[in-house]
Amino acid sequence: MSDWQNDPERAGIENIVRSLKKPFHLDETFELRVMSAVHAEALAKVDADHAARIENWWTKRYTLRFTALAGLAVAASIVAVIALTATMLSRSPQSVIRQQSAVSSVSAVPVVHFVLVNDNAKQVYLVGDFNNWSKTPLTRTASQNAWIVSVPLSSGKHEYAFIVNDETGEHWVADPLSTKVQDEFGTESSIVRVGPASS
Amino acid sequence: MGPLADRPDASIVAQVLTGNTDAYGVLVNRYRDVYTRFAARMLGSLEDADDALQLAFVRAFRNLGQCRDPEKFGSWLYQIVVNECRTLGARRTRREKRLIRDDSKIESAATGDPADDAALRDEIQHALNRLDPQQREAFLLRHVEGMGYEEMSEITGVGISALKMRVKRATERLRGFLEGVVT
Repeated sequence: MSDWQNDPERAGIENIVRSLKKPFHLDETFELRVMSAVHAEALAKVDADHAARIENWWTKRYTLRFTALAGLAVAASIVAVIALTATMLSRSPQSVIRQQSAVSSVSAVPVVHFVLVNDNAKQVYLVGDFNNWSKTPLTRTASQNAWIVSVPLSSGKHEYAFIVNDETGEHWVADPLSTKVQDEFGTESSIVRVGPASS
Repeated sequence: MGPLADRPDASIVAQVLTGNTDAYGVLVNRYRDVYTRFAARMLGSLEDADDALQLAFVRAFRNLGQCRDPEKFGSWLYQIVVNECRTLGARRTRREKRLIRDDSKIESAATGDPADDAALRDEIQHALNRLDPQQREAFLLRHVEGMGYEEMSEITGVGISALKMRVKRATERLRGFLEGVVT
């Protein structure tokens, strides 16, 4: 901060700076609100750690030693459990998935699939004029670090961007594969057109 | 050991990382007002500043284990605040499709000399809102928060020469916007 005091850049703007230096105060509930969110985060982390421990237990490799007779008995029990499960599953209705597809195919509203490939993202959000620039989370696919979300959109031209959350924070990212448009300050977002080209 | 509130950042960070979540409240209390002015000036609204700071504090808590130098928790948090302001500002600009002249909220929340001319302060904030966000950010950090360029570079991730250029342009533009208004 030392070189700032005699900075010639400040010449003629002292009064502007003095005005801008007026302090601000957040309301008294701020700390309470932050700490509520922080405690919720801490609890969620405890739950996640617990789930991870259970998963580790489930996937951990155990070595069991049996006598020949006990081994035969255990093998017979496993076969019985598998057979019972297979019988129960064969009676289960399989209509849920088919029904979901049908709803999607008869829907009159076009659904747009937004995809972003990003190696470093921990979370990706979609923001656009169709969601009032609030954040809709994308889901990470199983491979290639692709993030995807499907959104029903009305016909016309829509402006959007991604918000990529990585180790360094959140970043505004225009879709690299779409037409881009700049705001008055040069920040880029993307354009998607839905329906007839004339709309 | 003295009361938690008197301990340095690194000691409190260590407490939080060992499971004392309540200790984080000391850091929130310590830094909330320090960064409010920057966020409010940057975003042009105390309400948006509240949002940005809340997100920043929660994000900092979530990633506290990645704070490499807990003695510099404040600088690390500042980086997160700057980032939140950038993202929130970009979203808000698009949501509103214009810069809202939200000075009434700001000025009513400002505490200062009552003899100050409210209309003048209104003009100054409006002129600040008209700057490119990158220039506004650099100008605020340099002249209002009084930072050196090295610290600014550390916090913004932008090179020193680029920051100097942004500050210079912001200053020139502000002078131009306020010519004849501010002496």
